[in-house]
Amino acid sequence: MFSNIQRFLPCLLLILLVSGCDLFGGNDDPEEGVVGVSFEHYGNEQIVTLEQSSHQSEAGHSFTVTLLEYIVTDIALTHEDGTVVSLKGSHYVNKDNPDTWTIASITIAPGTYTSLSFRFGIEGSENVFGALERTLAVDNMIWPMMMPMGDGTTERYHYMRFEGRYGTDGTFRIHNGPSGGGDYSFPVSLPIDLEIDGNSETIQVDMHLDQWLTGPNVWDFTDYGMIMGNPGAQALLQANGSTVFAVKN
Amino acid sequence: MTAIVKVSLLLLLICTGCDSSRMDSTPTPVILEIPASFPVLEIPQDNPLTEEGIALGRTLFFDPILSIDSTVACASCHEPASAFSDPLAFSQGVDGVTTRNSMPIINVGWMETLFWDGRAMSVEEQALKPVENEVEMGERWDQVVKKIKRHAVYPAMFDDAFPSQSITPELIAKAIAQYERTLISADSKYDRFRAGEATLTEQEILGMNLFFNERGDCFHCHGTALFTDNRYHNNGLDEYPEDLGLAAITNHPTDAGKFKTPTLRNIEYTAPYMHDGRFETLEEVVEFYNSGTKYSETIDPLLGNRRQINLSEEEKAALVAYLKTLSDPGFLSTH
Ligand code: HEC
Ligand code: HEC
Ligand SMILES: [Cu+2]
Repeated sequence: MFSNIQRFLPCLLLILLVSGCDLFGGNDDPEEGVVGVSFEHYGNEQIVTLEQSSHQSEAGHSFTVTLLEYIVTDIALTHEDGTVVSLKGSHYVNKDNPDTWTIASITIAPGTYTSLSFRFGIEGSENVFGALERTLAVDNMIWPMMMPMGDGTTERYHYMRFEGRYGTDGTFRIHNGPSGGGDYSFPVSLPIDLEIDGNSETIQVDMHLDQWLTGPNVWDFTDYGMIMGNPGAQALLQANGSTVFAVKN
Repeated sequence: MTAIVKVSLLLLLICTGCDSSRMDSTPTPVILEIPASFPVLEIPQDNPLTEEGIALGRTLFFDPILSIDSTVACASCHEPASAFSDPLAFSQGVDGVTTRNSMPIINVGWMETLFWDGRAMSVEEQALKPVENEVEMGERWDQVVKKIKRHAVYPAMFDDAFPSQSITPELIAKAIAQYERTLISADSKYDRFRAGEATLTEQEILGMNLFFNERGDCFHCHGTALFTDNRYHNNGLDEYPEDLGLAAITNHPTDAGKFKTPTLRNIEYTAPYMHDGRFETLEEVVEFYNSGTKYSETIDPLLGNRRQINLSEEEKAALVAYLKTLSDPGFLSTH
C-alpha cells in the first residue's frame, strides 16, 4: 500500500503541475481587451451642468454654459511598439445628450498603450458637409459656405459650439471652425498608461472649458461677438486648445 | 343534393376563400424616398410604414369621427392648403379656440420631440393627444374606438393595415403617424437651386446670404435641410414671457420662454407666425429679428443682448424673398 503511494506520488505531482500550468496559462498568452472612451466637461475643476454651474474666466467674468457640442475625429490609441489602433473615425459630443458622451467599447489587441490621440475638429480637406454621420444633431453642426465665414465653395462643419452667459446680462458664443476656409482643427495626444490583457477599460477624457479662455491667450467675452468670420480669433482658440484636454488617470 | 345545399356549399367555399385570402395578406411595406440633403430618418420598429397603414392614417386624419360632435378633424387645424397648419392665430376646436398657434405638419418624421413645448416624444405619442384635448376634439378614446369598430369601412381597413390586432387608441395613433411620416416637403425653388436645376434672383441670393451669414444669422437655429434644429430657444419675443413654453414641461426656470424652432419650409403658407400667432406677415417677423428682440434671462445667446442688426430696407425685403424660395407648392396638393 505504502509503496504504491510512493510509486504514484511523482505521477500525481506531475499531473498537478501540468494542470496548474494550464490554469495559469494566461501568463503565456495575453488576451484581447476592450476599451471605451468617455468625455467629461469641467470649468475650473468643477463638473459643468448646463445653465446651472457657474465658472470663472481668466479675464474675470463668471459664466454659465448653455450649449456645448463638438466633433473629434481620428480617435486612436498608440501601442508602445508604435502601432496606432483606430477606435473611431469621428465622434460628436453634446453635453445635453448623455448618449453622446461615450465611444462604445472596442476590442483591441493586448499590450501596453501609451497614448490616446484625436483631432479636435476635422482636418481641412476632409471637412466637407455630408461626410459625417447624417443625424439631425450632426447635420446641425453645418458651417455655411458664405464669405467671410467659409470659402464660398463648400459647406463644412463647425468643430464646436460653446455658448453661454456671463456677468449680469452678457451672452457669448464661441463657434470654432474652418473660418474663411482655413484649418483651425488641431491634433491632441494624451499620455496614458493602459495595460490590456483580457481587461475592459474606459479612458476618461476631460475638456477643461476654462482653458479655452486662457493659456496662452486671455479671451475676454466682451472683445468677441461673432467669430465665424474671424480667422484671427480662430487661431487664438486653436492655440488655447493645447491645454483644454486631459486624461484622468 | 338540393339546389339550396349546392348554393350554400358554393357560398361557404367563396366565403372561406375570401377569409383565407384576407388572413394571408400581409400589409405592403413602403420605403420612403429620403431627399439626399436630409438627415437619416428613423422609423420605429413597431410601426413600419405600409400602404394600408398610410391609407388608413390618411382617412383618419381627414375624418371628424375623432371629435365628440363629428365637426373637427385633424385636418381642420392642419389644412393641406396651409401646409398642414391653418390661417388663424388660434385654431377653432369643438369647444373654443386653442391657446397656441397650430403648427404645420412638415417633415415631422425627423422630429425627435413635438409641440411648441416638446411634450410629445414621437409622432405616435403626439397623435394620441388631440382627441381628449377638451378644446380640440373633446372626445373620449373609448368612444372613438366604439365608433370606429361599428363603422362600415374602418374595421376592414384596420384588418388590412394591422392584421389580427384589435383596434385601440395606440393603433389609431400608429396609422396617423404612418401617414404623417409621408408628409415630406423637399421640392422648393431653393431645393432645386441646390440641385442645380433652378436659379435664384439677385434679391433672393442677397437674402440667402443674410440667412446663412452671421449678420442675419438665421441658420444656427433654422438650419439643416429641415430648416429647424428641432431644439428649444427663447428668441426674444417677450421680456416676461406669459406662456412659459418648455419650462412648463421641465419645471426649469432656465427654460422659460423657450419654444421649439419651427421649420421655415413653406413659411409663406403658414401665417400668422410664432407660438401665439402674433405676427401677420413675414415682413413683421423680419423686422422683429432686425430690431425687436427683447432681453430676458433666458434669451438665446445667439440672439444676444438687445441685438440690432440694422438691415436696410433692401436687405429686409431680400430676406423675405429668400424665405419664399422655401415654398413647395406641390406639397399643398399631393395629399
Ligand atoms: C383644434 C385644432 C387642432 C386639432 C383638431 C388638431 N391639432 Fe394638431 N396642433 C394644434 C395646435 C394648436 C398645435 C400646437 C399645440 C402646442 O404646441 O401646444 C398642434 C400641434 C400638432 C403637431 C406638432 C407638430 C410639431 O412640429 O411639433 C402635430 C404633429 C399635430 N398637431 C398633429 C395633429 C393630429 C394628428 C391631429 C388629429 C388627431 C391634430 N393635430 C388635431 C391644433 C390642432
Ligand atoms: C436662437 C434661435 C433662432 C434664431 C437665431 C432665429 N430664429 Fe426664428 N424662431 C426661433 C424660435 C424658437 C421660433 C419660435 C418662437 C416662438 O414662437 O415662441 C422662431 C420663429 C420664427 C418664425 C415663425 C415661424 C412660424 O411658423 O411661426 C420665422 C418666420 C422665423 N423664426 C424666421 C427667422 C429668421 C428670418 C431668422 C434670422 C433673421 C431667425 N428666425 C433666427 C428660433 C430662432
Ligand atoms: Cu456658428
